[in-house]
Amino acid sequence: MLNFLVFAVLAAAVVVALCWPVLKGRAGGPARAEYDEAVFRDQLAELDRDKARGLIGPAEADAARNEIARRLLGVDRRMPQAQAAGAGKWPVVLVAAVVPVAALALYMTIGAPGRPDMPLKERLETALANNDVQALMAKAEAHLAEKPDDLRGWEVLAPIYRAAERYEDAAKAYFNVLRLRGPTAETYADYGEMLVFANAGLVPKEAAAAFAEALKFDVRSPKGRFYAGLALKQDGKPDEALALWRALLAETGPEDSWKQVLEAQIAALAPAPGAPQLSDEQVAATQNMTSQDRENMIRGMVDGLEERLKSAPADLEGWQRLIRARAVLGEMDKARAAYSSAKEQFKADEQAMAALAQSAKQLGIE
Amino acid sequence: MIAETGHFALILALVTALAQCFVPLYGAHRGDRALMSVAGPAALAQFSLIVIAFFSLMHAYVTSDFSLANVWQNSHSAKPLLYKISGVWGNHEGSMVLWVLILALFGAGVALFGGNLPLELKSRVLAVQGSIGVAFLLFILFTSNPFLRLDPVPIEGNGLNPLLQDPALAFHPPFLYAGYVGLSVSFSFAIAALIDGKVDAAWARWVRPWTLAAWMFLTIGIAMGSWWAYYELGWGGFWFWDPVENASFMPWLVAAALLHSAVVVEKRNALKIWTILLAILAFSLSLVGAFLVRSGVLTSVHAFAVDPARGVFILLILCVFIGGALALFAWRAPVLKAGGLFTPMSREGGLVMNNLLLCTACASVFIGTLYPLALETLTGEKISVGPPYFNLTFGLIMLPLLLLVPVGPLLTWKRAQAWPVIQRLWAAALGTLAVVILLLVVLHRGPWLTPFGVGLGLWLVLGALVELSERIALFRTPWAMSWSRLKGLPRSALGMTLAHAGVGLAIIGIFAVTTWREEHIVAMKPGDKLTVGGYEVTYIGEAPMTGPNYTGDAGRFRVMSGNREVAVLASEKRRFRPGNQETTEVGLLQAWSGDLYAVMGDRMNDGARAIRIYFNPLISLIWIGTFVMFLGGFVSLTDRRFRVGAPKTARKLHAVPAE
Repeated sequence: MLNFLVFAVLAAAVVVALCWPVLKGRAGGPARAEYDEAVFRDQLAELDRDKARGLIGPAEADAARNEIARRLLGVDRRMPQAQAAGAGKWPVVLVAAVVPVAALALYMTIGAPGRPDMPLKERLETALANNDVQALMAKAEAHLAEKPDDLRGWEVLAPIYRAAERYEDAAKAYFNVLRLRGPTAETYADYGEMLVFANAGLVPKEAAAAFAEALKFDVRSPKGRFYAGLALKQDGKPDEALALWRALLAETGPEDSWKQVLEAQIAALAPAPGAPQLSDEQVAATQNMTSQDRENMIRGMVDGLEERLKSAPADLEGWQRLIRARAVLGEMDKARAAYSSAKEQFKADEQAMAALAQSAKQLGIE
Repeated sequence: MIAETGHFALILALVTALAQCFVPLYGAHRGDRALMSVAGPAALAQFSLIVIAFFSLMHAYVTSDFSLANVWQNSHSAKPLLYKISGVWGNHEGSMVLWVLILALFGAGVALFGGNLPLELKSRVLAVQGSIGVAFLLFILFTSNPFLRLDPVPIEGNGLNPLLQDPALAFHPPFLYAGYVGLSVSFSFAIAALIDGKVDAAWARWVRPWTLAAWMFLTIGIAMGSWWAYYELGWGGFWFWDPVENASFMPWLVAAALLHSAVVVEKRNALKIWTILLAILAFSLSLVGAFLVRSGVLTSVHAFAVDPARGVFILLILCVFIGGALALFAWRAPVLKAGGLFTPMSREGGLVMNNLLLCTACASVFIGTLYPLALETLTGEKISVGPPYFNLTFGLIMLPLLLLVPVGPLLTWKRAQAWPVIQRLWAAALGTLAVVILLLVVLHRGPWLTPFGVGLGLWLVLGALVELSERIALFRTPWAMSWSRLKGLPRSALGMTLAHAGVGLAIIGIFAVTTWREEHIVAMKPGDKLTVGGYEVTYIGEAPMTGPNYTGDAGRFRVMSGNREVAVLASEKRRFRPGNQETTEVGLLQAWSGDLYAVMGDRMNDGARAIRIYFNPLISLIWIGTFVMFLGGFVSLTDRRFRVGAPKTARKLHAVPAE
């Protein structure tokens, strides 16, 4: 509201300024000829001064005076046309009225009425009240830049980074937690997981080392075992990975969050076509199906995934899942087609391209 | 709230500019004084509104308000305050706002200080000025709007190009724009005169201060840009015939020609049509420059981001204004009465010569700049037109002009004799010759061009001094008499002397640097020594360093002259945090005899550094010379002729002086 009050003041000032000459009735004034005369008379005066000071010779001065005098005589003395006195007012008032309306109309189309300013300092101060995650993150970062040994800060920041998909920063944060609190299986596993995420699903050497550490502290750590399995699979040891994962699946209850992912991974590795992603009910349902029905259902799910990726293609994991599922179902042409669509989608992202190429190689479609 | 107010003010400025364009034009057409006098307040209102918009944008930059897309793209919260402020015009959108701000400033200047202008002329000038404002405000609001908001709002910005984070560059664009845009006033005066059908001595006198102001700003803007290129880019040179540099140089040349031809119109009522054409061309070249820099046709250090939509829009502005102006010129120029006659050997003849040579020189730069672009567009062939082309064409055309500069002011109007001129210049010629011979003896092993180049500059300086001493009758009358004559001299005459001497000083510097510089590119390890330009330079070593938004390596050099330590130079290689872009900071030791210039290169395998060391003799004369030119323009601008007031009209009772 205050904003529009300010706009009104500005617009009113412009209207007054435009109407000012008409309102003041300053319609008169000297004619053009008188301005010309003023200049030529000044030239004559200047000539006299120069002559007095000896800057110009007498003969040249006379010649110049004659010339200026000729110009002075040649000044067009016709008076300007008669004033159109009354007619002058209404166009000005009309224009003055149109100006604010036109400006407001244009502003309402291209402006952002009522948008407040967001200066950085104020934003950081009110971050908590406004639940402004980005600002909170920036604040925490600034705080930790000053006090890098604040364990609590890193603990809070790490999952926020993870949620914001800043996996490298999250890995750094978990590393600092490790450094300050001392090693635990959970933190090692989280640290390694973030490294894997930052590498688009590939397990780098540091991550593998972190998972090994995690298993040293807690041999049953689910995350540690899951990723250790992934590392084995990516190392070209699918049997060992499958053994590890099956052991883990046996200990996994239905409420555990990683169950689905784990099953999908096992399904991808299992020699028979397996279900990429099935809930318990679905698994139960499939047990009563003929193998034909079962395969149809799986194909239906994979087609659904493909449809979804068509409308929301910026999902690397989704593409990887699709390619894998097609390959597992033996539809190698479709797998290749999905692979090339995914390459098209992520051609600007080197890491994603590397991850895609890696899985394509493992699945033998390249 | 402040950002939105700025946006609204900019839109209101557009509508006000429309009113400023059409109402006074209609009024002048009908002879309605009330409608004509709307121009002044409209120009002031438009200026105030753009000031509000500009400072709203600056507020957003200073407070790091990343809800504005423009601020987010071009600023960063860790940047020093100065560069937050200069960041406003360090990008395309913001620099366009600065552009219209200066455009409106000149309009407001005409409205405020144009009391000595007849109302018809003043209202038409302001109307044309308003139409230029409309074109550029439309361009900003619809293709390059800096007030567009982002949602969600990022927490950190992308930063300003580190190359542009430099004090000289913070102030280079405002001056340069003041020059470019200042030429719009001469353009508006020319268009108004064409509509009016009247160009006379009075018109020439009214247009002159505006052209002079624009030329001064352009001079200082170009000099600052060249100074920046010299010490920031680390290539050791001061002028590269880069298309963007040429884009600023061409209007400068034509503005210089315009300044001289306007003198002829004022004093002799001749060259009127030509002068109008020059005024149109000068601003047209400014627009061409803007098009080259902003359309993405060029990629250069200076060029802003590529966007075809913007290029097309600017091309449209270009066509409308240049095409429209030239069409109007073709239609109306025959109406203008031809003026006084003169023989080729006269002051007028000299000024015509000056104009022809300056315009030909400008044409050679124009061809060298645009031909490669045109060729690439038409055939796809890439050619590079570099200094050899410009030295041969531009240099050879300028040579006779420079030789004639001292002669011109000694010629008399209408008809001149050669002998008195030669008589007066013998002292300058003898002095020049003596120095050239002395330099030839000293530099008998070459370079051969140096003595002649330095001699050419000296000829201009001595010529200017001779002309001044002639005017004040130095040595022919008592000192006191000469002194009082000097004080009584019109400021414009003094300004001319300064400007011509400034050109001479710059010429000396340019020739000394380009023909006589010493250049070493060597790999140095700490402790290594090198003798350059009479100094003994020792590479001490390097150390890592940290700045507010960059890290880098600082190399240090001890400079000895004889057994005395003169200075310790530091040259840095900086890496800026957002983007990891690298810049160099030059180690510079300035002295009258020349600059010692040291740049850190890349690290070599064996722990040594590639280091470039130059000795640039007399280079400071280039900038001193341009400053003296600027000073000459300023002194000339204070001439009392430009302050001849509005006529007092006691005869008419209802009349009061115009604003």
